[in-house]
Amino acid sequence: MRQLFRRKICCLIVPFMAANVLFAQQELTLYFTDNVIQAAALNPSFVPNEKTVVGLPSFVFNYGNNAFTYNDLIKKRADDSTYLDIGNVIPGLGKANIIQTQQNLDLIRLYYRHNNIHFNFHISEKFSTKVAYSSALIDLLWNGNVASINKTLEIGPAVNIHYYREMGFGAAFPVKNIHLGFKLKLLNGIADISTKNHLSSVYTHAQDYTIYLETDYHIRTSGVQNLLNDPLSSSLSFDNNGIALDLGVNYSINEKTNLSASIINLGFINWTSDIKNYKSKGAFTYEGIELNAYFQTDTLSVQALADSVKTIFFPIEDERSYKSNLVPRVYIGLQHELNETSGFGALLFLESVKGLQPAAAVSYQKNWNKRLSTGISWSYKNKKLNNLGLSLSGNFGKLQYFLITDNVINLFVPADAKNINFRFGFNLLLRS
Amino acid sequence: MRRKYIFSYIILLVVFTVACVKDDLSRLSLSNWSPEIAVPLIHSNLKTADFIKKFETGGYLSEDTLNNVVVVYENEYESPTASELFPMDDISLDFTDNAAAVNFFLNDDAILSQMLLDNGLLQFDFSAPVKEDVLLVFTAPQATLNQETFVHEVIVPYEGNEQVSLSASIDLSHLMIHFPQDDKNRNTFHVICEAFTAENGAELPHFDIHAALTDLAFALMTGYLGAMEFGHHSNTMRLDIFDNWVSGTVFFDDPKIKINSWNGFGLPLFLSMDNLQGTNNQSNTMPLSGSLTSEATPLNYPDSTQLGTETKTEIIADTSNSNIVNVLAISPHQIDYELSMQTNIHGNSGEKNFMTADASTRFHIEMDIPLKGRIDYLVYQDTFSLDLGKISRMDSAAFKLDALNTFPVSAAVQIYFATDDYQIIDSLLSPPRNIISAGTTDQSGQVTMPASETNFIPLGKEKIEKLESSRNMIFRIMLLTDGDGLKTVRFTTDNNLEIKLGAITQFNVL
Repeated sequence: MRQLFRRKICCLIVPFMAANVLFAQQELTLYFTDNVIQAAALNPSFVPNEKTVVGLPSFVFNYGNNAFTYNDLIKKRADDSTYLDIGNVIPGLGKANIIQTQQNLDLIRLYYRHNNIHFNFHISEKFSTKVAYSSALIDLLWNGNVASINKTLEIGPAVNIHYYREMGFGAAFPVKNIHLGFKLKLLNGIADISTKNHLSSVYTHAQDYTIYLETDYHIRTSGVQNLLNDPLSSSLSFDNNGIALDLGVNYSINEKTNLSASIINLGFINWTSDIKNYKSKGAFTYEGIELNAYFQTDTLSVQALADSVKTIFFPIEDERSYKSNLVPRVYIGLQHELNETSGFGALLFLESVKGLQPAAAVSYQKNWNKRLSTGISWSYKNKKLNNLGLSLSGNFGKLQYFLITDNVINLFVPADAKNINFRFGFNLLLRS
Repeated sequence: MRRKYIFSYIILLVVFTVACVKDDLSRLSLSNWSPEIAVPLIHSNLKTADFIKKFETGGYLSEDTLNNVVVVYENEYESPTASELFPMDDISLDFTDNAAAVNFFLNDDAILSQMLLDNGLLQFDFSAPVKEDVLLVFTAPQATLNQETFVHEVIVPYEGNEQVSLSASIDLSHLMIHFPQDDKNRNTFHVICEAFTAENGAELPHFDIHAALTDLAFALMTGYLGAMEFGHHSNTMRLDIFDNWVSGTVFFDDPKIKINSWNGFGLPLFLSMDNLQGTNNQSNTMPLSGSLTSEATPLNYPDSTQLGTETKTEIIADTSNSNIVNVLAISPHQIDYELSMQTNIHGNSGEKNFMTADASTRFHIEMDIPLKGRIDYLVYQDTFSLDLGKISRMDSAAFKLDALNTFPVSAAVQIYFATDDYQIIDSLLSPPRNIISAGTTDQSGQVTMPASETNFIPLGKEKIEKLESSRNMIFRIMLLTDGDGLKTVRFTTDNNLEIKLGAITQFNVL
C-alpha cells in the first residue's frame, strides 16, 4: 500500500527545526497594547486598570531566519513531490546566518492591586533555539571545495538551545507622576546546549589539494540526558538555578503623554546538573595516503589515518558546571493619547547580542469600545522596515482574548516569511 | 457591533488556517547535489627500499662504498658432519684361536692411521666347563687407553652350576686405535681373549666366547680418508625484485655471486656448483658459465695443528670470470643450483687427513646486485582485482600528479581496465606517456638534478562507466634509465621519488 503522509506542515512548526538570538524576542507591538497585562512583561512599571487580573495560559512564538524562506528551500515538482533546493538558498546566504525560534508559554500571570501597589506573579516556560552558520559551510557541503581552493573557510556552526522556567514576583507603585516597577525572577534551567567556542576551518591547497582542518570547539550541555530519559521529573527538578531582574519606569509628562523605559532580563542561570561538556581542539593535515606501506605489504590501510583523526579531534569530555547569561533588553517608549479612544506610540528597542541590535516601532491604537481594541504598528526590526504589526484584543464578559503580532502579513504567507511572531492568550479581568 | 466581533474571530481563524502549508514532505528529497571535490589521494616520498619490497626469501638492501644500493640475496647450507658421513655400525667379533680381527670400512681408498673412540662397548657372553672362578683377559695390542696398551681383566665367579659363565660389557670410551699401515691389515685391529683359572692361573683350553663392539662413535679419525663425493644439495634462490617483470632488459654493472665456506674437514675438499642458472617469468633460462661451474673449486682446510677449527674460503663469480651479467639480463626471478663436495680428488694416499666427528662445511651463498647499470625498456606488470562500486555517479574526474624524481629512471605508466576474464576494455592514458621523468645524471651515473613533472589525467564520463564495469586493473610501468637506457646510472640510498596525486571530481551524491 502506498503510504503517503499528507502532512500539514504548519509554518509554526518549521522553526522547531532550528534555533535563538540575533532575531531575539522583539515583541514591539505588545509594548503599546497597554490594555493587555502581558505588556508588563516588557516593562514592569505597566499596571492593569483592573484590581485583579488572572492571566490564563498564553503562548508566544517567534521565528526568525535571516537567510531564506520555506519556499526558497522547499520546491515542488510537477507531481507535487517536494525537494530541498539548497542551490537556490545559497546565493541568499550571508556570512553569518541564523535560524532561531522562541516558544514561551505563560502558565499563569496574577496581578493584584493593594492600595496603590500592584503586586504580580507569573510562571513561564521558555524554550529557545538558535543555530548560527556560515554560508561557507553550506557552500562547502553543497558545492564542494573546488570553488574555495586557496581560501580558508570558517565552517563551525554555533548552537544555543535553552529550556528554562521562570517564576517572577514583582510590584509596581506610583511615586508622584512616576510609576516604578520591578520584577525578581527565579530561573530554573531544565536543559541547555550551547557552543562556547565554535571555530572550525578548512583550507584546500591549490597545488596538491592538501586539506588542512582546524577546530576549537567547546560544546556545553546540561540536563539533556535527563530530559530525554525522564521528561517529567527533569522538568520538575530545581537543579540549575538562576536569577534575573526586570526594572521599569513610566513617567507621565502630562495628562496625555507618557515616557517609559525598562531593562529586563538582567540575570543568569548556573547549569550544574547532568553536565556533559565536549572540547575538541586540534589541527590535521590530510595529504593523501602514504604509499610506502603498500610497497612493503601490498595492502593499504587507512586505520592509522583514522586513528590520527580520532586522536586529534575526538572530544575531551568534562562535567564542569557553567553559567549562561540572559540577553538583557532595553525598551524606551513614548505614548500619547489623541483622544479618549485612540493614541499613538513610539518605541526604541535595544538588545546586546554580538553588538547592539536596535529596533524601533510606531503604533496607532484604537479602542472601539469596551469589548474591542485594535492597533497597528510599523516597525524596523531585524534590519527590515517591512513589518506591519497588528494587535487585537476584546472581552467576553470578564474573559479577555488577545492576538498580537509585529508582522501580520507574514502570518498569512508564512512560507514566504523570514520572520514570524505572535502572542495570543486569554486573561480574566476580575475586579475593576 | 457584533460584526466587529465576527471580524476579529475571522481574523484569528484565517491566520491559523492560512498559516498551514500543505506540502507532501514524506518523500522530500535533495536534487542536483553534485559537489565538486578536490582531494589529495596519495602523498609519498619513496626511496629505493620502498620499491624493492618483500624480501620474503632472505634478501636485504645494503650499500657499497660508493653509496650504491646493493640488493643482496643469500642462502645457507651446511654439509653433513663427519659422524653423519661415517656412521659406525655394531661389529661382531669372530674369535679364532682366541683372537678376532676388527675392520673399519670407510671407502675403498681410505687408509686409517688412528681412530679415537668417543663411545663404544665390548659386549660379551662367556662360558667355560669348569666349576671354579675364572679370570677372563681381553687385550687389544694396537689400542691404547690412557697411553697404555688396552688390557682388561674380568673375574668370572663360579656360582655352583655345571659351568662358569658371565655376560657383561666393557667401556671402550677414549680408546685410541692405532691401525697397522700394511695392506693386509689396512683399517684393522685385533682383540685377544684369554681365560685362566682364578686360583692357580692355569689357562683354560676350552671356553666359549661371543662378543661384539656396540654403540661405537668416533671422536677423531686420521690417515688417508679416501676420495668420495658427498653433500649433494639442490636449492633455489628467489630473486623477488624480478617478480612481475615481463619484458625488457636490465644490465647490472658489477653483480657477483659470493660463496663463503667454513670447512672443518682436515682433508683436500673441492666444491662443485652444477646447473647454476637463472629462470625468468617467461621460463627462459640462462646458465651461468665460468670457472665456478666449469671446474671443482678447492676449499681451504685446516691442517693437523688446527684440529677442531674451521678454515674460510671465499669464491666469487663476477664479470671477470663468468657471464653473470647475462644471467641477470633476463630478469631472473630465481637462480637454481646444485652443490656437492669431493674429497681427495687427486688420490694422493700420502695425504694425512683427519676428521673430528662434528666437522662439517658451512656455506653462505650470496647474490650481490649493486644497482648500477642501465635499464632498457623494462616492463613491470601487476594485476589487481577491482570493484569501484557506483563510481558512475561521478560526472567527471581529473587527476593531477606531481612528481619530483631523483631516481635516474623514467617511468611510463599505463593502467588497463579489464573484465573478469582479463579482456581489456579501456585504458587510463591514451597513449601511454612518461609521467615520471628521469633525474639528470653526471658522468658517474649519479643524479645531479631531479626531474619535476606535473601530469593532468582527465577521466570523462564514458571512461568512468567503463571503469565501473571493469573487474581487474592491469598496472603496467615501463622503465628507462637516463640516456635512453644506454648510459650506466647509479641508484643510491639518497634517491627518492616524491609523488603527490590529487583529484578533482564532480559527482551526484544522490
